[in-house]
Amino acid sequence: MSLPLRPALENVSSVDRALEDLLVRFIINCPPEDLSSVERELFHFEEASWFYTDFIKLLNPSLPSLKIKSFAQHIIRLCPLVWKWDIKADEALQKFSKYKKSIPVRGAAIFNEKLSKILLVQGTESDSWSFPRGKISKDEDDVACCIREVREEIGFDLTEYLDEDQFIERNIQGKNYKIFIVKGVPEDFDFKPQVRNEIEKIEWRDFKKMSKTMHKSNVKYYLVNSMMRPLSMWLRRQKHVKNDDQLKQYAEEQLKLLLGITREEQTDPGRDLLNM
Amino acid sequence: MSQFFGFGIRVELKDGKLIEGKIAKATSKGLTLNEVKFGDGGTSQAFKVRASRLKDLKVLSVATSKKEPKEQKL
Ligand SMILES: [Mg+2]
Repeated sequence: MSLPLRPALENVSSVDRALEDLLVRFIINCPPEDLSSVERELFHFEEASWFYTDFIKLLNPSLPSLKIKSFAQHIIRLCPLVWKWDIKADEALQKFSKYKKSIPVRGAAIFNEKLSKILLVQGTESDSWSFPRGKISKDEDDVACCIREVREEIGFDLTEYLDEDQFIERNIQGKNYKIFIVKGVPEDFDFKPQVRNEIEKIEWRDFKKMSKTMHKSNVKYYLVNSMMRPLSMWLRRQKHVKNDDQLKQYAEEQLKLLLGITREEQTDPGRDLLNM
Repeated sequence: MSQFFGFGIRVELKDGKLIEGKIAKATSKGLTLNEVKFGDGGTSQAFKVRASRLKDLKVLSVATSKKEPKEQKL
């Protein structure tokens, strides 16, 4: 917002003029990515409504108070093109306030090198087995949160293993879960919690066996049980990729042999001399 | 070797040229490629090259009967 607060704002005669100002400041000049989803756009609406309340209304007490809902309605009335979504603003705002209050939790589904086992933890206060996970801390992004929580809970650093595009996301009872999927973690690593009194047990489970017996077992799971299908799909794709990699390597070897392509030999400085 | 029919490869010729294409035929004598792309940007439907001109070879993709499923949101 590089526009200074000038006298122009002190004499706002109507809500609509205020809203036009706010549209220009906060909404219509945003780069397209900033308005590429309902939530992102609502963040901007929210900023605009705060500016209205904290500055414009303050300087012009005759203007009405506008909470975010009516503010949004006014803005959209004034400039319908601004709201290109199918969902009604009311509804979107309800979801938005839920979304903002929801606690983002990040964790990891950790597979071994063979893609046969998954590492699960059990807490000290609950019998459920689940992914190592935890809540986002201030100014932390999803990946950083996952890495930190996993390190705290099992003593393993996932930095080299994590792919920020490989994850499963779910909203459960007001909490937003993002579980990153990683593979190739060594089975024989000595996992130990770095925090006290939080983690009771850390164990590898055979994934196939677990998926077969899950529904008839007395073992309690949390999150894992509702993510079995996407995890299975992900595993299948990994194995597909792994098989493809092996096939490529094999094909390359065979073709090179067939075509007589040999490895380049290093030029040996003395060789020419010797060859003379 | 017909088992590699359809594989995508990139070959480097001894003169330095780079060529990409899909294997239509591969024998000890040479390669026949389809859907060829040359290093200079040119393309061709078919291209043949003698084995003796090849310096290096890399397999980029395996043959698939259908397109690989896009990465999808889980
Ligand atoms: Mg924790």
